[in-house]
Amino acid sequence: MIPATFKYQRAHSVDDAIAALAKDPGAKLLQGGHSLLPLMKLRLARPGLVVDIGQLAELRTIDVKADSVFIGAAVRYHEIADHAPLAQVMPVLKKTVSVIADPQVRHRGTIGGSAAHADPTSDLAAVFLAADARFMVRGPGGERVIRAADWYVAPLITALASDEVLLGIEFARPSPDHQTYLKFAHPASGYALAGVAALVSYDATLHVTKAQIAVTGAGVLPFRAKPAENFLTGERLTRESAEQAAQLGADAGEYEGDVQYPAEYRKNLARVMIRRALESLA
Amino acid sequence: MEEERHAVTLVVNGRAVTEEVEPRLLLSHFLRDNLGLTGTHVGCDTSQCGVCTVWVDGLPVKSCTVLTVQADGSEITTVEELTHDGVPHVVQQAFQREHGLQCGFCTPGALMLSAWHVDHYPGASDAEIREALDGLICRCTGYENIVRAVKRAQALQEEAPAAMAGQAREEASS
Repeated sequence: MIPATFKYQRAHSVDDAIAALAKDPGAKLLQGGHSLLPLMKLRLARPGLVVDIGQLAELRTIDVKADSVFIGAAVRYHEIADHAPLAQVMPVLKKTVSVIADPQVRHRGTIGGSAAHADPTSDLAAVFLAADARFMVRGPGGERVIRAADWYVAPLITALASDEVLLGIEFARPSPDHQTYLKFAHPASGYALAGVAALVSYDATLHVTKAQIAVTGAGVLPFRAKPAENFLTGERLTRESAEQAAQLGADAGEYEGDVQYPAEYRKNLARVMIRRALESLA
Repeated sequence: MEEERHAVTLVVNGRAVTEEVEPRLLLSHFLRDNLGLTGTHVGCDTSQCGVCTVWVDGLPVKSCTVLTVQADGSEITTVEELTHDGVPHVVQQAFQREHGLQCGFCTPGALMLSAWHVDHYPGASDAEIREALDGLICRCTGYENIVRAVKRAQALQEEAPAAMAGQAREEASS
């Protein structure tokens, strides 16, 4: 399969890319291409102009600072997995990118490309939501920050404007002590039927002091499981409390069935995976 | 839309190649159609089966999901480069010995993944080898023998990394 014809421009800087986007409202940004190119090959996407920002050094930094972590939009999954300081301060990132697709895809796919594509089964979406990621973007009018809670507008649609470039994603430090990402993968495609990012802190008696939980894949959109967090805070983390939290957390999602999986099944998977994620942290 | 072409320069198997290409030309097609390197196969053409795997700047990637213009300035290694002076790569020897192929269609991708993995993770366990091959679909379902072949390639590499060329020559002619 061959994409429809398009014009191609390799941007020399972020500002160069912004200028290119301003010229053509139908333009698309390209990094690793592992979301956009498959769509273009199927001709589900037919941009007139493709602006390649995958090689921009300014988008390829990982910066672990005292009070935050910044990951440039064009950083590839395998670079996140191999970054030891990052794995130390936010282990959930390594856990998550290590189960995205397969090794070849992880050599090309980027964190920013995944965020901007906003597939509702994206593994990283659960982490972005659970960890209160901040999306740093720049457009013709300057830079702004979009909170994870506002990022996912609809399946494949984000709050990023068509003339803006995602610069990178920032997480506050310290993040909770115990972190995991657990997914129930579709047996054929490997996509998350339900993926749960759980970040939890607890004291010496297992009483939860902080819980941040989000679910991807199961719902219409990835969602934060706030009722589960509220319930858990102050509770001891046990099988029973995890089960109760999971029930409340699953209730927070909006589900739609399809030909293979009814809505009730998806919701049940969300519940099971929240419980398993929490149990794995105790 | 008028056809737009871009000059690209890639180093393919150690040789610099400059051509003018359409932006939509996939790397897999560039290698096969423009350069005649038909060792790289195209399987699913939807970024899933991994049969088209080549190394771009030293990393295995699916060449059906890379535009040639994206690879401008990159070094590409294809399956043709695994054999030197008629001497098969240790992984190729191992695939032969362990019957790591049946129809052979996925073999170029299997070899490029395996060779990279044996080079970078010489002591990988069976489970790690299977994980490394996650992005390869063998339609003959011959995975057991592929994993055995990677194990044997590890052993061959460990036995005689320095004397490999000589040993390989012997094995190839035996």
